Amino acid sequence: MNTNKTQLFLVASIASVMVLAGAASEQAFAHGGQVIGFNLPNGEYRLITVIMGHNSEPTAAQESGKHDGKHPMELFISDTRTGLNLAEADLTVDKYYYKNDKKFNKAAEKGFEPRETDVSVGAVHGDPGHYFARQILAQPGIYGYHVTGTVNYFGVMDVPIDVKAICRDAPDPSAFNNPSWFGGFGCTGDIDDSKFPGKKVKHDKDD
Amino acid sequence: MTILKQNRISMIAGTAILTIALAFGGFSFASHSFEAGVAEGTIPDNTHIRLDGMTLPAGGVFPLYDASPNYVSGHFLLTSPCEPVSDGDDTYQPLVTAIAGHIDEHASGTHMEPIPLFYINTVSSPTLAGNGDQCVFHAHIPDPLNGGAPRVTDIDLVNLSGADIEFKPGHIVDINVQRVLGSIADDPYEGGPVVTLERNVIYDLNDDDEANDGLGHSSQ
Repeated sequence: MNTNKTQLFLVASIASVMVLAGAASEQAFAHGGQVIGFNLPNGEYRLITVIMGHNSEPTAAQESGKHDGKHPMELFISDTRTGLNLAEADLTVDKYYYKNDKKFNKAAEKGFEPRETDVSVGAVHGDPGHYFARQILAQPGIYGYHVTGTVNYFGVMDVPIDVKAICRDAPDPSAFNNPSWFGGFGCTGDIDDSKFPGKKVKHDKDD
Repeated sequence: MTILKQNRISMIAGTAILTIALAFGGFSFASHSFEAGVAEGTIPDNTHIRLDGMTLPAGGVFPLYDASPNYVSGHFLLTSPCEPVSDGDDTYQPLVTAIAGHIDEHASGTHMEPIPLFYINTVSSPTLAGNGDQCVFHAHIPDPLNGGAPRVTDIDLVNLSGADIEFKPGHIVDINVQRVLGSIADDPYEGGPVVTLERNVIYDLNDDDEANDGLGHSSQ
């Protein structure tokens, strides 16, 4: 019983530290994650950190002649205590998309349904612990992912993975996210929104 | 002439044993399942330290490596005078103790634990020469499966044997650092000092005792 409490406390502590660390580095790396605990065959307790987000944040949707919209869903998976990468995994992702807050809120009431299921998540060549579900983000809006499968822990055992989160600008991400999710990744905007000066800038006639 | 002949026979025998060990030992040596290694085309950082000529007094400490503020992953090799783990055991432990972790200017941030070591009997003197003059030990830095400090910036030798340890030719430490995993400033140890001064836990994949195989190396 005390062991369970200690483990919960440990997970909560690590998650808290990672939330703070994530907040501090959010501008450079807008991702969130989960810490997953398990016991080795010898009884020792271990933790895996799964970081999830979009590659090349901030994201923008594809628009012909302006932006290719290539933003794979990406994962970074590592051993929490040591920071060693975990290079073997068998994972798939269910993908969710909502055009706007209204659509998201409606889904929150009726139940979230994925647009695509069992999409393959593959290892990035030459970068152990880094995984992609390659995609082109076709529309601005609210994107969410539910990753399931197993991660091989250094050849000893397969650890079940269940990571679920929606981009952080959704009206109520906690309605979608797994309870232990921390941090967040950005929703996808229109490429024109990042232009400077934008359409609304007016010049004096003398210019 | 007789001595030269004996040396030649010893060399041939040693080479033969090494060849056999390398040919068949792939299954026996540690599988390195969690050593990421370096990217192709990159040369790892290697530190080779000769211990011969040094006498480490009881309680003495010999710092070997300090990568602060980075904690690193890599491979550790120690050759040392050795003794059976317990009387009559065919698994040997070094007389000197290897510890790793982080030594911080703040005591609260200091965390050092014995390194889990793998005894390599095929190239150690109990097998080759029938004595405990020189045993070979390998370790993975860090070892997420078998214990030790999870984040390593510092590696030291410490003499917990209660008597002087005299190192002779062939006694060395080799530390091969292959990857920086992070900064101890971002992932510090807290609540210390933790300094576990115990002899190294020894794993042996080549004896009949499966209880000392550790994790991650089962017949792989």
